[in-house]
Amino acid sequence: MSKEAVNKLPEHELNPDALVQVKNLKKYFPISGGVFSRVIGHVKAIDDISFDIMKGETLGLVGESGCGKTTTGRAILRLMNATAGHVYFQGQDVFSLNKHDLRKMRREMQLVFQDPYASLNPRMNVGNIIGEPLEIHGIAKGAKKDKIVQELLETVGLSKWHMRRYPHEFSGGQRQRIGVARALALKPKLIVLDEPVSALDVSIQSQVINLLEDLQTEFDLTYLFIAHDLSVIKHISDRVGVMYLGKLVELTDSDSLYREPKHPYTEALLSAIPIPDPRIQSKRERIVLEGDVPSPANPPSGCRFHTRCKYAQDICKREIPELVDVGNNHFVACHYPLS
Amino acid sequence: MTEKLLEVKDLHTHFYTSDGEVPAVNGISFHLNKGETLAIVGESGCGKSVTSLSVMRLIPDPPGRIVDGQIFFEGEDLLKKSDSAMRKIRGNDISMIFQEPMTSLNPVFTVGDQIAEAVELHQGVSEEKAHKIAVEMLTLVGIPMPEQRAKEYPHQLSGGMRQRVMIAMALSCHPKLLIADEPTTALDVTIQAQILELMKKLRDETGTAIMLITHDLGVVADMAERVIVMYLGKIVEEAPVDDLFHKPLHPYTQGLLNSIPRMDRGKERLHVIEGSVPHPANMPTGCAFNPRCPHVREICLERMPELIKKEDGHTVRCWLYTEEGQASKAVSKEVSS
Amino acid sequence: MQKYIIRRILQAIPILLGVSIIIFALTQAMPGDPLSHMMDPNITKEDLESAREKLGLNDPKYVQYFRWLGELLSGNLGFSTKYSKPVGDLIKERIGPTFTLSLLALTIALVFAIPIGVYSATKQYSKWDNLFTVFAFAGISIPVFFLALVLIWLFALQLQWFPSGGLTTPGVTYEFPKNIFNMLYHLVLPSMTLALLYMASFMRYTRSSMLEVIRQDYIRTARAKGLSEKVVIYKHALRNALIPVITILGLSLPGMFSGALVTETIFSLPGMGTLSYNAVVQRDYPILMATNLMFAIWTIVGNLLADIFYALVDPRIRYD
Ligand SMILES: Nc1ncnc2c1ncn2[C@@H]1O[C@H](COP(=O)(O)OP(=O)(O)OP(=O)(O)O)[C@@H](O)[C@H]1O
Ligand SMILES: Nc1ncnc2c1ncn2[C@@H]1O[C@H](COP(=O)(O)OP(=O)(O)OP(=O)(O)O)[C@@H](O)[C@H]1O
Ligand code: SF4
Ligand SMILES: [Mg+2]
Ligand SMILES: [Mg+2]
Repeated sequence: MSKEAVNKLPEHELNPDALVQVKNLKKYFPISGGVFSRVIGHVKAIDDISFDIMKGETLGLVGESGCGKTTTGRAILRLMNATAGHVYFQGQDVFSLNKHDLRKMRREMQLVFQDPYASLNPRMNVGNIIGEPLEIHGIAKGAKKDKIVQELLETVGLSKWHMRRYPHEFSGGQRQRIGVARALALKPKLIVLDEPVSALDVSIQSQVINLLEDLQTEFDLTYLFIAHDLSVIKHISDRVGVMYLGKLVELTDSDSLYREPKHPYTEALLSAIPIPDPRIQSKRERIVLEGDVPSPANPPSGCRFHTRCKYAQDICKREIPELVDVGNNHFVACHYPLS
Repeated sequence: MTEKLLEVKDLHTHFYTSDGEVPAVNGISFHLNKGETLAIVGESGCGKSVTSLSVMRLIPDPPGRIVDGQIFFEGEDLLKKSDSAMRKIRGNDISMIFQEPMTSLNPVFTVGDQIAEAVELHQGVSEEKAHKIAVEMLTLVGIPMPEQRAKEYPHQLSGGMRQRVMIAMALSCHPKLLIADEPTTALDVTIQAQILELMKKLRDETGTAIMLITHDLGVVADMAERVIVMYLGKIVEEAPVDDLFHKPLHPYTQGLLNSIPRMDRGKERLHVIEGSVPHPANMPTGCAFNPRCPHVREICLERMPELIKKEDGHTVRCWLYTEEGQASKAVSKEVSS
Repeated sequence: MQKYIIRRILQAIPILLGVSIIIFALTQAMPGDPLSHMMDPNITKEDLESAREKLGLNDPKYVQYFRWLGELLSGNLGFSTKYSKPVGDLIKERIGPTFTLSLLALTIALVFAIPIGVYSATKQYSKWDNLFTVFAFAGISIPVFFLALVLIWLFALQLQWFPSGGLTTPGVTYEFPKNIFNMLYHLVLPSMTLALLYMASFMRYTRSSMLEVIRQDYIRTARAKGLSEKVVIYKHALRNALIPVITILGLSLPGMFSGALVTETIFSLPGMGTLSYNAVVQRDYPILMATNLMFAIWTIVGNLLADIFYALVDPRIRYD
C-alpha cells in the first residue's frame, strides 16, 4: 500500500487536540471446540468502544479482570489485529499502514508491561535491552548507543554502571524502571502502560508513579494508563475510562468520576475500594454487587451490567445504552445515569 | 481484662537456602485476644506468611524450621505438642485460608467432599451428616444453589466462589482462630468487597478471632482492631488501628501511609520511601530500616532498637523514641536507590 | 462420559483405515515376494506366473488392498503358507501368552513402581530415594536381552528356581485354563524381565509427578485441615500425581509388545512377538500384515484407554 492510500480521518471528525482517536473498536477472539476444533463462538473482549486520548494527558483505563483493558491497549498499538473499527494516530489510520509506515509509527507509540519479571529477556544485559530498539530502528549503535542508554538509565533513576547487569540482579521496581527506559529510548509521543505498578510493593509503587509523572512533564508524553486499582488511576490520570465486559461505560475527568459517578457500576466499584483510614472507612456505605462478572463469551443482552445492577429496568435488558455526554464532557453509557 | 487466645513469644523461623540461612521470622512476639481481629501488614517477603504458617506448624521442612520461641494457644504451647495433637487443632480450633483461591482447592475432588472431609474428621459425624453440614456452610457463605455447587469441582467455580468455599471449609468446624493470609489479594475489587463483608458478618455472628494478613492498608482500615507492622522478619510497630493510621510512629509506617495514593485525596505528589527492601539473607547491621530511613542517627547504624512501649497498646521499634537515640547524632546521607 | 467414549472410538476408525493402508503399502514395498521364498527354485517361469495369477498377486494394488481389507473384516486374516494354517488361528494361539506376559509384567511393575515412586518423592534425597534412583537409571539403561540373560543365569541356571524358557513343561500342552499354573510358573522370569524394565520408568514418572504435586497449594490446604500425612499423600496427592502417569502408561502399552518381542525370543515363548519376528525373517506377508495391524489397533486402544482413564480421574477434562 502506498503512502497516499493510508486512510485519514475525515476533516469534520478530526479532533486537533487528540493524539489518538479510537472509533468503534472491536476485538473478538474465536473460541474453538468440538471434534474438529471448529469455531463455536467468540469472546467479545472489546465490543464497539470509542474514545480520544488528548495530547499530553494521562487517560486511565480501569475495570475488573478480563474486561478488555489489555486488549484495548494492544489493539491501539496494532500489536494484535482488531476485528473492526479504527484507531487514528494524529489523524492517520493505524490499521491501514503498511509494514514500513507501521514501523515508523511504532517509534511514536510504546508499551510498558505489567510483569517486570517476564517482560525483560533474562539473557540480555540491561544495556542491550534498552539499546535494542535504538539499533532496530537504526538510530544509534556502538558508543553512541551506549551513551544514550546511560542517559536513559539516569533519567529513570538508575546508574550508568547498571548497563552491564542482567535483569535478575534487579528488584521489581528497578526492573520496571528498565522497562520504562526501554520504552523511552525512541522518544515516543504515546506510552501505553499496562498495569505498570500492579506487581510492585506499596512503597515501590509510589517511586514508579512519581517517576512516570516526572517523565511525562519532562518529555511531554501522553499516557494510556491501564490498571485495576482505582486509587492509583485516580491519582495519576487526568481523565478516566471505566470498562465493564468489553464496553466503555463511563468516561470523564478523574475528579468528577470520584465525586459524582454516573454509572451504577462505577458507583459500586468506588464504594468497594476500602479507604486506608479507619475513621473514614467505618462511615462509608459499601455497595456490594451480587454475583460474578458474566462471561464475555456470552454477555448479557442490552446493558451488560443489568444482571448486577440495582437500578435496572426492563429497557436495560433490551437496549444497549450508548455512551453519551451528559454535560461537561462526562460520558456515560446508562439508561438511568445517577445524578 | 480480655482473654488471650494466642500468644506468640520470641518466634524465630529460619530457612536454609542456597543463599545461606534466612531468618524469615526473626524474634516476634504478639498476642491475639478472643474474638479480636488483628492485622499483620508489611512488604512482600517480610515474613507475614511464614508467621502464620508457623502458628499452624506448617512450615515446609526442609528448607524451613522453627528454631526458637513459643506459641501459646489457649495457654498451651503448640510447639510442644505431638504431631497428632497438632492435627486435632488444625482445621478445628485454628483454620486457615490462603491467598490463591485458584490453586488452594484440590482439582480432583468436589468442593462438597473437600468441606465434608474436615467436618467428618474433627466432629466425628457420619459422612452423610458431614455432607449436610458442608451444604449448610456453602449456604452460609452465600453460594447460590448450594446442593448443586457442592457436587461441582473447583474448576467449575469462579475465583470469588472458590474463596467462599475456602472460607466455608475454614469455618466448618467453628474455629476459635481464623488465619486469613491475603484472602482477597487475588480477587477483583467488587469480589473483594463481597468477601470482606462476608468475613465481617461471620466474625460478628460466630465470635471467631481473625489474624488477617495483608499488604493492603485499605483492607486493614476496614477490618482490623489492632495492627502489627512487620519489616524484614521483625515487628516494627504495633497499635490499635486508629492510632496506627492517625499517630504512626515508625518512620516506615509513616512513609507507607504517605506513599499510597488515596481516592479521597487530590493529586499531591506521593511521598516516597527510597530504596527497596534488602534481601533477608544480607540484613543491614543496626536497625533494618536504616538504609531507607530519612531520620537515621548514628546509633541506628550500630544497634537494632528494642520494641518500646509509647502508649497503651502502642509499641514501636525505633531509636527516635528513646533518650539514647535522641542523644545520638543525625547522619546526613545520600539515600541510594 | 458414554458419549465421550463413543466419540473417541468413532474417531479411531479413520485412523485405523489409514494405518491399514500404510501397512499394506509397506508390505508391498518390501523386496521379494512370498512366492520367491516358498517355491522350488527350479520351477518354470510359466508355473510361477500361473501361481502368481492364482494368488491374485498380479491384480492392481488397490484391488489387492480391498480384497485384503474385505477378508479382514469378515474375520479372515489370510493364510500363512509357511505354517499352512490360517493366520487367524495362529494369532489366536499366540495372543494368549503375550497378553498374559504383558499384563503380568505391567501389574508387577505398577504394584512396585507406584509406592516406591511415592516414597521416593516424600523422602526426597534420603538414602532410600538415592538407592531407588540408581536402580531406576540402571533399569532404564540396561537392554532387555541383557537383563533377561542375567535373570536366566541367576534364577534358572544357578538357583534353578524357574525354568529358563518355554511356555509349559515339555509334554504338557498349553490349554487354558487347565495348565494355567504351569504356564504362570514359566512366565515368572520373562515377566520379571519386562517388569523390571517398566518399573524403572514408571517409578521415575511417579516420583517426579508426585514431587510436583506435593508442592501445590491444595496439599498445604489439606494439611491445614488437620488430615494425617497418610491421607494427604495417598488421597490428595496421589490422585493428582497419577494423572500424568496414566498417560505414560497408555502410551507404553504398545511398547510392551515390542519389549515382549525380545523377551519372547530369548525365553522361546510362542507369542505374538516370536510370530511377527519369524514372519519378518521369512517374509510371511499375511502374518506380517495381521500382526502389524494388531499392533496398530493395540496402540490406538492404549491411547483410548489412557484418554478414558484420564477423563475418569481428572474432572477438568471436558467430555463434550
Ligand atoms: N489471545 C486471546 N485469546 C482468547 N481470548 C483472549 C485472548 N486475550 C484475551 N482474551 C480474552 O479477552 C478478554 C479480555 O482480556 P484482557 O486481557 O483484555 O482483559 P484485561 O482487562 O486486561 O484483564 P486483566 O485485568 O486480567 O489483565 C478476557 O475474557 C480474555 O479471556
Ligand atoms: N519455602 C521457602 N523456602 C525458602 N525461603 C522461604 C520459603 N518461604 C519463605 N521464605 C523466605 O521467607 C521470607 C518471608 O516470606 P513470607 O512468605 O513470609 O513473606 P510475606 O510477608 O508473606 O510476603 P508476601 O506479601 O509476598 O506474601 C522471604 O524472604 C522468603 O525468602
Ligand atoms: S443501564 Fe440500566 S442496568 Fe445498565 S447500569 Fe444503567 S441502570 Fe444499570
Ligand atoms: Mg490485562
Ligand atoms: Mg505471603
